Amino acid sequence: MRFSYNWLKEYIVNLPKPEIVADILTRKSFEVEEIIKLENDYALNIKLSPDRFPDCSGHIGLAKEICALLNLKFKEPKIIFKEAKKKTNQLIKVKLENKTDCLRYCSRIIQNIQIKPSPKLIKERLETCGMQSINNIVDASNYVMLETGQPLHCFDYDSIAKDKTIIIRRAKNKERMETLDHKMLELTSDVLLIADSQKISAIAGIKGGVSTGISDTTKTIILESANFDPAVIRQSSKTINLITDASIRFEKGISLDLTKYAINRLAQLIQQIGEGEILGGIVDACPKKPSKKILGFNLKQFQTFAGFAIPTAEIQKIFQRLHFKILKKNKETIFIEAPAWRLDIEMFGDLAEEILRIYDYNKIPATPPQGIIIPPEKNDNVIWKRKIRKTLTSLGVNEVYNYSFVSEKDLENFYIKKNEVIPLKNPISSEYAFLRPTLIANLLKNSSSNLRFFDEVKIFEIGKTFQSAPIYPHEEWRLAGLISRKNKKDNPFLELKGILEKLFQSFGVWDVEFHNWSSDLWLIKGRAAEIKIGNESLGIIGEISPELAQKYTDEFATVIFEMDLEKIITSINEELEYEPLSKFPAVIRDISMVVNNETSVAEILNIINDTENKILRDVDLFDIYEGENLGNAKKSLSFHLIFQSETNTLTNEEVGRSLEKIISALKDKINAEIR
Amino acid sequence: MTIEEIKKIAKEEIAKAENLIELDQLKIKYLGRNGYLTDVLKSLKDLAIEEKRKIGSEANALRQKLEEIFNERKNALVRNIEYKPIDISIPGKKKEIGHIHPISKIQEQIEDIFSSMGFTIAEGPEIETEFYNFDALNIPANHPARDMWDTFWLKPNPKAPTQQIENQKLLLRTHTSPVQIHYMENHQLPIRMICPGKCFRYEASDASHDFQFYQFEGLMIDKDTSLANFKFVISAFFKRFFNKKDLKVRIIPSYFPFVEPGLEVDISCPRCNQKGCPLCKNTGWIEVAGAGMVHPEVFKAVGYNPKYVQGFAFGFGIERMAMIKHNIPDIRLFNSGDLRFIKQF
Repeated sequence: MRFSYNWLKEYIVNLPKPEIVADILTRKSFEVEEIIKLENDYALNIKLSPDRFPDCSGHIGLAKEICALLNLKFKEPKIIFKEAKKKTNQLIKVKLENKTDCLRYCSRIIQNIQIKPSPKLIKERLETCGMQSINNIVDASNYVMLETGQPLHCFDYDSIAKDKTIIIRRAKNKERMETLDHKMLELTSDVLLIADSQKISAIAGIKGGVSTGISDTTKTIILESANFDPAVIRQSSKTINLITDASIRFEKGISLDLTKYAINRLAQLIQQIGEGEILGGIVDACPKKPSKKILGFNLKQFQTFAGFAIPTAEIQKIFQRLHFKILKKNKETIFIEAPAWRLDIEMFGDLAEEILRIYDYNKIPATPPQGIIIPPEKNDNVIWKRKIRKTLTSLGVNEVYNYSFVSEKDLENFYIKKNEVIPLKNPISSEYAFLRPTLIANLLKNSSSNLRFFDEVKIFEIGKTFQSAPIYPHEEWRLAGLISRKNKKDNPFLELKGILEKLFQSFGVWDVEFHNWSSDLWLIKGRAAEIKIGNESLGIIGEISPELAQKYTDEFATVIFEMDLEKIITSINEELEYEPLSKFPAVIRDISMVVNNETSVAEILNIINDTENKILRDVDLFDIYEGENLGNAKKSLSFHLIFQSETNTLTNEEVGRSLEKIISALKDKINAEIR
Repeated sequence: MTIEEIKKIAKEEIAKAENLIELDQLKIKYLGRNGYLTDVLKSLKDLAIEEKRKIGSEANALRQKLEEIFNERKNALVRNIEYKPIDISIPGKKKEIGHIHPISKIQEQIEDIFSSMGFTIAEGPEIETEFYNFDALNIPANHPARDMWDTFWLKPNPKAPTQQIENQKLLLRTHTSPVQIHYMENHQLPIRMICPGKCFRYEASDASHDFQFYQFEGLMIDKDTSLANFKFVISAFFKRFFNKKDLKVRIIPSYFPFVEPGLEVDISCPRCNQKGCPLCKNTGWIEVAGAGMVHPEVFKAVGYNPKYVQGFAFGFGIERMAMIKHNIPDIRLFNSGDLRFIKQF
């Protein structure tokens, strides 16, 4: 919101330079975002906080604030004007449908008006504050709004219906109205109106209508100054999707004192610029005064709250500078009355803020908290996420972060039904229309964009996925990743599998199993596995189908995995147990065999491990060979067998016996041809 | 061969050995299992005891002597080996390690600092109800401050009756502050809690705004946790985080409905030390956090009696911390998945 420096000067004796004003406001009230140098003035662009709109959205209020901050003298403007003998209430009546929507409604009438351009000063100041000049009457009402913070409205007396009664009422559903700038609005009962018996003259607190608008031929005008329920104006503004200089003020609340003050000020201004006769008196429907706000300020409570003490005399001085009346005080408490315009003052914390900001937040001494020292609770989720990141990156995989959204197209590509996912009511774009049910879609996009710069992409992400559920949507932490590389001959499946095995081993889990998986249509059948620990299924690993590859990664071979992070955490055991190092040497024997192609490595390992469980420490596959010279549908596999005993040095005979047993089992069970 | 002969020839041959392999072969030839000296010892079994003793001890003396000569020669050879020099200017062999995303890194740094001050790390859901995101934080419907948070709303599930109730409408959390509410509902005083997490705002993105970002929430409450305590904790944090003992912290007024007073925390520009630079727009100060003393209405919403409880809450953006610390110009890089960016950290 923009303010004129020269205008502020009218109310303040010895106002310092704009930079000093801006600095003190930013440090003690609200942020001055910029000082704009103009030909004859400076505009201060101020970011008012919503709670300070009621008292500071006009130049008078802001001037009072500046005076309090800099301890300067405020010059109260005087309102004097002449009234005609004819009375306002002879010409109009005001009817309120209810007294909760409209809290106060003041009208005046000015006759013998001539509509013409505004004087230079008014035009200039409106411009400084970012408003356009329209004509002398509209400008005057805008001027007084900028001055006092009270929005006003003027409309054409002759164009209102013959019974000359202004009615403040809710709109009927689907009632229509044309605004001053010729927009047709369709209304609902959320919208409050200013109307007569036949037509609508304005959306209360927001915008005037064309039917009673001021025109070049207007002779008699009605001035309106009102106070509405802020929530009603806010709802109304949302319903018709219209935000105006008036609505932003009304929705934050305005002091009831201002209704009458501002209408008189407007009458005075119109008279000052040489126009019209002001009829006698105000039609004040529902005249109301703001209730007095009296609060007790407990000094001891303040000291506990702030963590230090400010001398009572100083506190009193600050209250006085801010126009808070000190009614009474004793040793513990100062009783004060807050000024009517400070709608934001409601409780102790508000008073404490006033004292502290004027005193200076930066004089608060930094004081270490006292109390019992309790070690913070351990958060498993956080700890494990860290360990996973550390391990995966040490294995060469990079961490990425993605948006939590996917498109309808992504869902189709992954054969995910729309009723399984959560759509947004107001997505930022169709690309981000649904909450992601899987991390894979966006990882594939990362892979594709990175393969423009790298020959190989290894990435993972830890993040939430979302699934639709009957009562409340389901959120799930997941760990997913992929390896994709341009060299298609080098299939990344086993590399990624190895990475996951290492990941689990680093947590002390040695029994991760991979079972054939064919449930996901977007993975290649026979190149996909379910990842399990015991009976718990953690997720999947597999190569994506050529179809999907085409859509995301230019047909490069891409192997992905995705797992339920919470299941991983519950499955892994943090306590790695030390295994004593054997004092006796290990003996390594290699064994190579030719088997049928469909024989899986898991089968062979099972046979070996079942046959010898005493001195066989480890089995390692080190070579796989498939070639024509082996004959069709055959493959050759080579293993290191590591034998070791904890009780003695193994002899050749012991190892030999064991190896014989293993070989004959392999021959028996899978018809292996040992070489 | 006699012991004398062995001694003589072995000495000569050892002296002539040109490299370690030749030397090893000689060692086998003389001292090995079937070596000359072993042969001598083996032949002893046919001799008389006196002879045995004499020759035996001579043979052992020779073994010791030869071992010494072998070692001397070995040392000499090792000293004289000529190694082909390595061109040490050739770049090292590339070993790929992965990189942790800068958001995770910064988050871990922040967590570590607050953990060391006794703060527990909490997490909360990313989907929230209107109640937790707004109402419980003293931002009821039609509160003008609701405009401060542009919100992503979820389409209500027509089959879920609770989602139709006014303040139970579902949304993506616009800040991590709802975690305060969840946490207070389930914990007793004293509370020292921090919560990192993903947040969402329905707004156009530019270099300093994204519609998805990470926030860090902090909450410390007890019977007498004061504003002066807040100043201590937040100063200690930023000094440690930017690793600058002389970092200055400035507090200025701000407004958030869930605190009173509402505060903004500025730090002296860690880039230019207040000499003026583009990062601080030549002001010397950088806005880093929002904060304040928890509003009594918030305590009421979680069933605490505001008469006996007080304390502070604060929040800041993780990306912003990373941007300040690492001079990152555009917030959208964080969610780009671009490894050229991530591999720099």
